[in-house]
Amino acid sequence: MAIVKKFLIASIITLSMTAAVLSVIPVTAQTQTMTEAHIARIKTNCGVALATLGRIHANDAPVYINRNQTYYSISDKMMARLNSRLTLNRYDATDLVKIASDFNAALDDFRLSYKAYDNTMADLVRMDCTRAPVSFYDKVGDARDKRERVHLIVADMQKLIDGYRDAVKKFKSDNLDDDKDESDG
Amino acid sequence: MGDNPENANTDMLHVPWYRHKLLHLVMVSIAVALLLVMIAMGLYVSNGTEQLDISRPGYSAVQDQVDQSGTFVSFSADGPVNSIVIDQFLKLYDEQTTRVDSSEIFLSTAISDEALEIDAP
Repeated sequence: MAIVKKFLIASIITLSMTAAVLSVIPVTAQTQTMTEAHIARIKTNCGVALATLGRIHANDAPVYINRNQTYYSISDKMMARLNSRLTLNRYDATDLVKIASDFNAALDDFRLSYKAYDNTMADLVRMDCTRAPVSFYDKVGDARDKRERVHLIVADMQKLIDGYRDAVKKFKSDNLDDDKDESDG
Repeated sequence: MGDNPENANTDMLHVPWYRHKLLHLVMVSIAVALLLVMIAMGLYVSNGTEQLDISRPGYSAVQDQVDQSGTFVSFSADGPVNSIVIDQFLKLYDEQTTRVDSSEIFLSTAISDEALEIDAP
């Protein structure tokens, strides 16, 4: 009997928890539903939104091109060349090579993420938000997420640039500061 | 009889227009050209060149914002390694990475609902 009671209690608890979870899901979905007033506001401000998006989209292009070029140059003309020079001189540049490799991977990610963002923005500025306000609103959310992703990658790349600088300084203090003292002496 | 050039020319005049070799050549040339253009456009879009193309319609106003100076100085991959060389590298590295030292770009708040005036009333 005790086992049956325990089984019944466990079943009731499980059912209660399932019911609680299921009751929360529609509420969450409800908050995503757009009101008529919201849809009307999107339709009214459609022109303003499209103009702002178009301006931002156009201004993003030179920022991306300049960043992409500079990041590539930092990788190819600075990091790769110092790593090569250290290796040719038989120094252990493992840490620097690792950071440079991570930087190259982040650069690839930056390009892919920006491409996805740019394509979404291109679709967005062509949309008719007076006819399809809900789709337009969803697309804006999608573009925002993709833009945020690009922003986070830029922040990561900045950390890698700083990290490479710190690693070079560490390499110098670990391997070369004695040489300088000797040459000064 | 049939080898007479005069007869051959007369036969050519009676060939229907859709059986002329010249027409076939033109059509095949156009088809090949269209195929090559489609391949080129596919590559242009897929490999990210589109994002670097500032000559696209709508970007003329921002063309002058692209840095075309090409002033990025390369560090030499050859030569000895000593403290002075590393100091030179760090100086050059600092100078050139200042171009990208701001991470405050592509902020998602620029296209927030409020900024676009499409937030819920």
